[in-house]
Amino acid sequence: MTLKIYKLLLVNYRIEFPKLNHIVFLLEKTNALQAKKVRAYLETCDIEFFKRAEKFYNKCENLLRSIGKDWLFNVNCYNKMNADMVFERIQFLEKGSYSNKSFADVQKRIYEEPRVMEYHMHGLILAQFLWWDQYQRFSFFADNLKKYPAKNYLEIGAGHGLYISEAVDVYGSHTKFTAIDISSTSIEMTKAILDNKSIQCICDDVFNLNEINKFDFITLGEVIEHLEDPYKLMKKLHEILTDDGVFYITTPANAPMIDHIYLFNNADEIRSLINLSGFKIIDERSVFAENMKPEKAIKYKVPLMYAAFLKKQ
Amino acid sequence: MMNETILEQLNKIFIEVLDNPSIILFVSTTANDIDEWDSLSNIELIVAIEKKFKIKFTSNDIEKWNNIYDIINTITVKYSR
Repeated sequence: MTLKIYKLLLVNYRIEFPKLNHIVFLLEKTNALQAKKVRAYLETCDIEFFKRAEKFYNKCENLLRSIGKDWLFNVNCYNKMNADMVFERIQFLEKGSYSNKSFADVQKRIYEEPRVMEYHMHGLILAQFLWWDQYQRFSFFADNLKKYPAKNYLEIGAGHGLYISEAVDVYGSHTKFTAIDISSTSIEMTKAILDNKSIQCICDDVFNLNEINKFDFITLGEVIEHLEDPYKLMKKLHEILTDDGVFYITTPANAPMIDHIYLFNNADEIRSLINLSGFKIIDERSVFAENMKPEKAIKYKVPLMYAAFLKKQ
Repeated sequence: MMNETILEQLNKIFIEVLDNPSIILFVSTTANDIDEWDSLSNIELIVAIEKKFKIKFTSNDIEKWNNIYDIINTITVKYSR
């Protein structure tokens, strides 16, 4: 009986949130395996998830319209990105390392290939909510942000603007917002999705930021795994964070992707980097990408999502 | 190699990898038809298929797969090269 009521509620979600429903419909048409996974996952999600997803995908639709694309294009990008991930995963399980050894490798394969950049970035739009672990890192951020008031917010690698957009909603107009990204493709995407002139979007290297200009909240989501030397960036962020400021970081372990370089083998390695860089953990969350017992996830080297709110030691 | 032969070989691989002797594959079979076929076992299936047919798939190959026919088609194309 309970299950029947729950299923009815789910149907209502699908009527109430047409964007997400359309995306799932297109997945069903193009990739049965992904659709099956997403359907099972959506059955576990609460109403807040659906509201957040619909709000984000509405913003993303503006981006798609602005470049003359539709959701089918985006779903195809998502399928391509997942295929890349499967391919990288097979290599990772065979060799025990990521396929990229340097930033130059990724630059040649991805950053200098507009076609690859395009489908990869668009694929990630869907992953923000369709991957359980990705939503966990966002909900952890969104559910806790109001605990840490900020006047000068910085986000490095804002990507699709999901996090900075949430920060704008929570902090309001009295806070100054800055998004910085080394990739012009990424920063243009951020601008198109945010459509908010009050957010300063800078295409530059974070290392060029002056230490005199300090921030009391810094977000660094899914960035350090793209670097050869994460410690160098962590130390830079230590310099530009105010003494009582808060730093939100997320990064995965055992997560081979076409643009990942630095391999963390487990959460302890991430915690060690945090400690070594002069930060302490206030709160943290880590989940495996697949819904299974931790022992099995560790055995199969299933990707682990790690997220934490940090302060200076 | 004939499609029927590839289908038979794939059926054996699916039974072995997914540890389910009752699996019967058709060209129209998708992940929706087999409970054990998930994203984790999919990796094991791909590796087992590569090993059996002595071929290597690319991400472009994998991207196109929606049912068993698509997998057979990829294997056939790789054999004809």
